[in-house]
Order: sequence, then structure tokens, then C-alpha cells
Amino acid sequence: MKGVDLSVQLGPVTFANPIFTASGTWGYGLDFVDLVDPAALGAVVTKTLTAVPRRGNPQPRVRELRHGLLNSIGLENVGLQAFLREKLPALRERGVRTILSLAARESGEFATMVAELTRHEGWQGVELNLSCPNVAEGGLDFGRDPFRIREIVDSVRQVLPADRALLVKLTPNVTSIADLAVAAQDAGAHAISCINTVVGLEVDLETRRPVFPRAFAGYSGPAILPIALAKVWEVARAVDLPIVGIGGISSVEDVLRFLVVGAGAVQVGTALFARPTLAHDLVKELEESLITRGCASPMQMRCEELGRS
Amino acid sequence: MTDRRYGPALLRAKESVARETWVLRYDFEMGSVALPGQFAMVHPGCDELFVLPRPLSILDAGDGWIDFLVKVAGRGSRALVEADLGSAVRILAPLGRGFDLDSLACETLILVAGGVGVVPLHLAARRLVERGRPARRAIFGARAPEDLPRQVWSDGRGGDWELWVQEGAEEGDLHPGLVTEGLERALVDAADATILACGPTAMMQAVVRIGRRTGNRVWLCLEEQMGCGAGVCRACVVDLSGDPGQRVTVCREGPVFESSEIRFLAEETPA
Ligand SMILES: Cc1cc2nc3c(=O)[nH]c(=O)nc-3n(C[C@H](O)[C@H](O)[C@H](O)COP(=O)(O)O)c2cc1C
Repeated sequence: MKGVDLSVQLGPVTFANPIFTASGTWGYGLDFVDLVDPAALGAVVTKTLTAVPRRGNPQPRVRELRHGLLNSIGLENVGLQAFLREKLPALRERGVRTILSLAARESGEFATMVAELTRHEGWQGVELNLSCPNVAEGGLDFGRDPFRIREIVDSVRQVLPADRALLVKLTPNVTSIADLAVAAQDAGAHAISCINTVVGLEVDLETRRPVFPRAFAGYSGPAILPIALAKVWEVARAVDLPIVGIGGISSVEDVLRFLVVGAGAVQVGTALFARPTLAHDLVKELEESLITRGCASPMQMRCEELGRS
Repeated sequence: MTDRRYGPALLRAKESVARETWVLRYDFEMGSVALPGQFAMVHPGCDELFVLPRPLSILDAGDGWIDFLVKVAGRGSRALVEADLGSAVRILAPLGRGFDLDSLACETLILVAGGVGVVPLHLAARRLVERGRPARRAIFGARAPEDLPRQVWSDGRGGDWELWVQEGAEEGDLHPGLVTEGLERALVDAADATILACGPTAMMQAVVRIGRRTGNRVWLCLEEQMGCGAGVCRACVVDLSGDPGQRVTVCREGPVFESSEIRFLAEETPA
């Protein structure tokens, strides 16, 4: 059988394969270049960037549970300017396909940040993080409101160059994620990234208090895989956009599961801590398993019931 | 940057050296010589059971092998010590900034270790002996005699260690009490010494207080809950002194810091 075509199209941008790294779990894409080539991935999604640097939350910031990880990092990041100055040139030079994850304090700020980006080369898209549970002004407030999502996506589309992709990352912590996805689609998003972390809480039995000072934290890892699959399925039935499936991936079978429920691409997150080369391994393994299953492209794994996207 | 390697590693040998404490040897080739204080991220291998790898300080390493000292503290460490010989883990190493012996070896050094904090200082002691510049004094403290990993020192290649225990000091060569008492005494005839310390936070804070009072510099090997071991997840951050005080990761910018660099240690008011 002929080779598999792993490429995936998100709006105007084609990515060579559908395996991306998830925001916040692989830094700015340059921290493992001694072990693997980040340009071999479909794309690298950066740690979420804000207009000004953020120091993030106090300790403790992570707690490992049996099947998942709770984190309360609080969007610590170097800030958009420092990223553009210190990281983007190196990513560009290496030919890394880069998607910038962005968060803002108020809805108008997204378009301002993207306008700033248009003065720089070396990135292929933005992912609007409308879903961080770990900061007071984390975008979650407007990330739960279809009206505000429409407003933000619309404002970003107006300044985004025509050859760049616009991904919108949604929270699973809502009653209807489909309503949010429809709003993003209506306003011109190219793809829906789903999901961000699931709100969770861990207790310290000695102090009889929540472990994290903010009480709530974001749950990720294998435990959230079925939740993420359900959300992707729900979104796939509601919109015609490509979906980037995220949540609990740690094997090629997990990737295939996302493809079945309607994802066109996936992001690997927490599992990278246990295996920093996992995303690279998955590119190879995905190709092999699609061949084994007689699929010429990832799309052919899609459940018939969903129809074509 | 040191030359990290990542890959599977087979458990070659294990030896019980103290209560719930083991030395584990894996087949693993690092790209560079490990500095004392550098560590490895070790994933026990059952991905269904462990979301995160475990940071383990490097006890020693050589041609194709790496040793760790593991005290059972939870599910992960238990899985590591209970694994069968020949079973595989995954190792990313060496990581972090270790003790800079090139400059420290010129100074009079006192090593102070508590519990598994002995690991980086044991390696430091060995390297110093190899350089012909042994530490002036090496002090180790544990709760009880059963907690002393004596085999670790048995070949004598790390020089002599003074042993302190909080209970059961009746055995001949043991000192009753805390390592800080040993440190205070050692400083009497080594007033200009630089102190290298690693152990429980309370112990390190006490060592820093002594160093501040007596004017001795203190280098510490810190511990913090880690996710990735490579600076990307930002789990293990500490604040540096100064205003506003840069926020750095223990895994990449550390784990070895001078005590005055770290805000929570530098600003602590004397007890
Ligand atoms: C330590 C950590 C930090 C994260 N930081 C971000 C972030 O900055 N922006 C974001 O959109 N998602 C962030 N996430 C969420 C992940 O991108 C991903 O959506 C989520 O973890 C689910 O995928 P996983 O189970 O594969 O980790 C973070 C997750 C973790 C574990």
C-alpha cells in the first residue's frame, strides 16, 4: 500500500502531520532540541503568552494523582514581547511550525496582541486560550459566554493575516461546549481545540484544607481522556470545523480514538512529562497504525455517523 | 549545558542499605560526567500507574551505569525498589546545575546532609577526595541508627563522615542530636569554611541561619515537587532574592543555589 498522507489542514494552513504539543507542557518548543527535532512535529503550541509577563501562582503548583495530574501554574510566562524577541527567531530558524497560545485580561486585548504579531514572521497560527481555570482573570469568564467568544474571534479575524490559522481552545467546564464551538465557528475560527483541563480539587487531610491556595486546579492526563473524547464528539456533531483533540493522550491508540470521534489533529500534553519524546514517537506510530488499518489518511478513521467534516 | 540522554534503562543491581532505603543501579550511559547535585528524572515504567517521572539525585555514575539512593516515600519510590532485576525504567539525565566543584574545591568545605540529602553530598565528597582536596568535615544526620546507609560509605572513597542520630546513639561512633550541633562544632576550627548542605527544609533553614550568624557562605541543593525536570512545566519554581525577584525553576536553574540567592531562605528572620 502507498504511504499515508498525514497532513492536516486548519483553515489556510497545512501541517505535515496531526501531532502537536499542548500548550504549557513543552515550553516554547526549544527545550528538548538536544533529544528531538521540534520541526518534525505537526506543530508546537507555545505556553500561553500574555501581553505582559506573568509570575503565576504560589506553591504548590502540581499534585500527581493516580491517573492524572492537578496543576495550578497560573499562566506563568515570559510575556509576548520576550517570546517574540528571544524564542520566535530560533523557532523560525529551525523551521518549527509554531502556534502561539494567547490569553488576555479583557476581550479587546486578543486583537491587540495578534496585531502586534503581524509584524513578525515565523508563526503559523494562534490558539486563543479561552479556558484557563487557574487565574482569576483567566479568560474563563469570557470563555464560557458564546456572545463574548463571538466578539473575540471576530476581532481577531479582522487583524489576522489571511495565511494564518485561528484556533480557539475551549473549556470542558461548561454545560454545553457545543454552543461555544458554534459561536467560534460563526465568528470565523478555523479550528476548535478541545479540551483544556477539567476543574478539580485535592484535599490535604492534615490541614483539612484544599491543597492549592486557589482551591481549584486543572486536571489533566489519562483520567480525562474519556471526558475529552465526549467533548470532541459533542463538538464534531455541532460544527463543520476541524477539531484538535486534547486530553489524556499517552499512546497511539488514544490518538486513533480522537480521530474516530471527529478530531483532525491532536495535542499531547501531560504525557510529555513522563516521555519527552512521546509526540515524536506518535508521529511514526500513527503512520504505522494507519497503514495497518488500511487508512490512507487520518480522516479515514472518523466515525461514519459523524459524516464528513 | 550538560549532555542529557534519554531512554530506557535496565535495573542491574539493588541493595538494601538502610531502613526502607536502597541503592539501585541501572545500565545507563550519560553524555557527560554528572556533577554532584545533578539529578535524573526516572519514570518507573508502568505508564498506566505513574503520570510523572521521579526526580532522583545522582549518587554516582560511571561507564554505562548510574546509581541512585531511594528511600521509599510513596507509590513511585516503592515501585522502583520493588522492581525485579532486569526490568526497565526510563531515565532523563543528567539534569540541573550541580555544585561547581571547580571553584568550590579551592575552599575549606563542610558538608552537611540529612536523610536522602546525603546523595549529592556523598558524590561531592568523592569528587573532592579524587581531586586531593577532601572536605574538612562531612556530617550526616538521620533519625535513628537503622536509617544510616553505611554501605554507601563503606569503601571509604568519600572520606570520613561524622554520624548524628536523634535516637539510639548508644552505638559507639554515633553522636546524639542534630547535624546543626555538628556544624556549630566544626565551624569552631574552620571559621572560614563554605558549607554545602542538603536535607529536609527545616534542616537547611537551620544551616542557613547558622551560616548567616557566623558569616559562612552556604550552598544548598533544593528539593521541590517537579513535573518535567526540564524547566518547561514551571511546577518547581522558587523566587530569587531581590525586587521583584526573578522566578526560576529548581530543576533547571537549580537544584543547587547559594542560600542568599533564594528569597525564602535569604529573608527569613533569625529564629
Ligand atoms: C502543567 C500544565 C500547564 C498547562 N498550561 C497551559 C497553558 O498555559 N495554556 C493552555 O491552553 N493549556 C495549558 N494546559 C492544558 C493542556 O494544554 C491540555 O489542554 C490539558 O493538559 C489536557 O491535555 P493532557 O491530558 O494531554 O495534558 C496545561 C496543562 C498542564 C498539565
